[in-house]
Amino acid sequence: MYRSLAVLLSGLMLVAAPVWAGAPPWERVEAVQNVLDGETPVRGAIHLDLPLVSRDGSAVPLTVEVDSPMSEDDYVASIHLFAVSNPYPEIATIHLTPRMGQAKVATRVRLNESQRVVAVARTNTGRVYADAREVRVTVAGCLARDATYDSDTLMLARVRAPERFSAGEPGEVTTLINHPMETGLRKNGDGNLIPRRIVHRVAASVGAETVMEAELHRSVSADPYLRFFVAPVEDGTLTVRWDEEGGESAVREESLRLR
Amino acid sequence: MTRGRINRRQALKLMGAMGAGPFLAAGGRIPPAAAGGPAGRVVVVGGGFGGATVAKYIKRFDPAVEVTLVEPSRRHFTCPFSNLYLGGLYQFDALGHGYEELVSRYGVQVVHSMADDVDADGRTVRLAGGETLSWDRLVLSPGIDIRWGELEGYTRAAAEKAPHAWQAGPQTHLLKKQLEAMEDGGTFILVAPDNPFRCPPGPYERVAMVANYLKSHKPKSKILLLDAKDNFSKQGLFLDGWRKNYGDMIEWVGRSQDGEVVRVDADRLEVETEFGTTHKASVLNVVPPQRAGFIARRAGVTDASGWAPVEPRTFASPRVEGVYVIGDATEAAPMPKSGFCANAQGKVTAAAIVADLAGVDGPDPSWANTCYSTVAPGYGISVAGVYGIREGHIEEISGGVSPADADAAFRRREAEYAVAWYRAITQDTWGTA
Amino acid sequence: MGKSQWFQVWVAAGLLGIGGSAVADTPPAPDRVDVIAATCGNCHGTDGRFVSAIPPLAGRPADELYARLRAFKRGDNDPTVMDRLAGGYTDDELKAVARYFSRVAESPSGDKER
Repeated sequence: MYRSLAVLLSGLMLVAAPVWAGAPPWERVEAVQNVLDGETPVRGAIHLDLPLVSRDGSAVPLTVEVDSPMSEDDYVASIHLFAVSNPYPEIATIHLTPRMGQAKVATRVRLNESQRVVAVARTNTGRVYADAREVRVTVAGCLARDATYDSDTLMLARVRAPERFSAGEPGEVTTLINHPMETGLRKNGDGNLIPRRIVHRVAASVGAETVMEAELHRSVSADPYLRFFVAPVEDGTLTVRWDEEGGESAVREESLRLR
Repeated sequence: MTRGRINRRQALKLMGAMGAGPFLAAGGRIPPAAAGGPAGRVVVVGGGFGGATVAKYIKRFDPAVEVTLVEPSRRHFTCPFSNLYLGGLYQFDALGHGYEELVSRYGVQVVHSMADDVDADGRTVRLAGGETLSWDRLVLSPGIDIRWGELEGYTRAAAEKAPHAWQAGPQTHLLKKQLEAMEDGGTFILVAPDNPFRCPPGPYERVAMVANYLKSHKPKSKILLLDAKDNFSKQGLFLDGWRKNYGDMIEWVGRSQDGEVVRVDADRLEVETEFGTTHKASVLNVVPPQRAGFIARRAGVTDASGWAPVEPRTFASPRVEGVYVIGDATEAAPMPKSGFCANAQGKVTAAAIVADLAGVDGPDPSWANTCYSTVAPGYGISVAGVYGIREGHIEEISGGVSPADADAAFRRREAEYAVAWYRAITQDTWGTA
Repeated sequence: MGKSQWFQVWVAAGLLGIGGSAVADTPPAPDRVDVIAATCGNCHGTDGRFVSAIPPLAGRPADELYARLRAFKRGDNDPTVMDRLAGGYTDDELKAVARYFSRVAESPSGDKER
């Protein structure tokens, strides 16, 4: 099934689309296999977008979108992102709900080196989709990085939502929190490991209902950035909460107003 | 020999061995060179650092190759050092370079026209006047085009009020005039784009040069640099250099501090950031998103990114046979989009084309780059690199930035070298220093 | 006849108004040393002849040039950018480039033969 579909797609698709012959690119990646849990994903309904070439592997923009009605009966329940050649491939797991209205999420990720990024999506009905992208990461002295993180604005969070929504129509929300996302793998100037410090959860809710919840891992860039959709049916307040692993939290509220 | 054509060397050799008869009988095309004509025809589109260099160096490597350079302007005004003009440290006229030496000394034919279209199958370029030029190899070095409208509100009309000055010429004059008309105590805002873009250190040198002008003419003014990135070229050196020379006049706001501008209102000289902050400028300088120049897109050598991917060894296009692309229009990371790289690429590609026309393998490539930035009079910084091929990709073999702890004498020497470099590279490219 | 020498013949011919193709046979295709040497022209001018705060290379003794390049590569010789650049080449390449410039005439009229 997969193979015949791939053959069909490779004949139809544009040159820019990834075409893999033979084994799918997630086959030998353990973290991906754990999520697939023995199932064979389907391509086509999921679209992963990253630049072909990145000059700054510390913050590579990533967008993933799944074709889905996002209705109570049929919605994308989770999206799993992997950078397969990073020391820890998990980037993030995003739990979605029909209240998002659109299964599209954007973030920025760390890519240690040129590699393949994989996205897996699972619907509430048990369908599994996957897509992959090759990204070339170049390193130049031009962009030699500072080892220190300016902590003046640590845990300062920002949220922006559209000024007006149409009832039930998705509008895009942009969020960012100032945080180093210290991996625990980096050394400081004295050669000692800088302790791990991660924002591991971002959750958005309207009233008592969760809209979206994301588990973030070490491959998410510093200053975690997340864009997602919300489709409010009435005026309300969007609450976004960030939690540090065993540490602090930040909360921001934003009014959602219908036209 | 990639297309089954007979090149001059092979033709001469084979004719010597067995006479011309078998060739003609076999329908092989004998290039005119075999009868004393050119060793091949190369058309180069674009007379900037890349195009002028590749034209000159093809002629240096093999004068028998016929080279035609298509460039609309009679003088090319360079982006490098246009910041120093804004800062009051260099004359605008000294940024202009003509094509006289390419013609008189090297025998390049220069056609002052615009290339409108490329026919890759027929191997011709059509010019704005309707005439066509035939080529055996085509080199496109068109530089950048602005992606008008990609940044909301930033249109051609907006650029007349909020200049980009990222292509030297009228835009540079406009920005200079606006600076001169600005009130003391005003705010100069520069909007910097995400990667990739022409001249990675350019926005940061520009604010330094604007600060140099304001410091002596309008010392109460402020400079705000709103950036779509958190990391930029020579970042530590710039931040340190700004502070040492201009105190707190320059404020840089990176993306994670809401520095990314998402909308421009050129009439009101206002910009809006990603999280909804509005900043009002006295003078607004927008460095907008960019892509490869028109003719590269027209010729079909660009991909979805808007830039032209290239075969690393030669900068031949993997998309259109017989066509090479060099300079800012290419995706050649980790090489930056700099005039220095365009010049270095021009030389490697000139060698590759001459070798290809001769039916032999071109040399293993080696490119270099040095980007000097002038932070203040007598205060220069640099990034330098040597590039080569590793595992099929372009990689930086050696390189780095000026030491963070260098003394004043070191910075002074780099400022002097910056001027010497500009004079040398313009001599090497156009011969008009 | 070496490439650089060949080029000088061509330039001289050009100055005398003689057509290029009539003067010499096909020059050897450019090699890696030609490309590296050309790259130096970016700061030192074409053929390393440009005189400025950055010193010219044309016509300087090969031993002297090579010694300086080797020192730069080690970080000696009070470098600014040359240490960062010299590291991009093998010692053999540095030696070949030094030899290349030692054989280039100090001025395009070619008053120094090799």
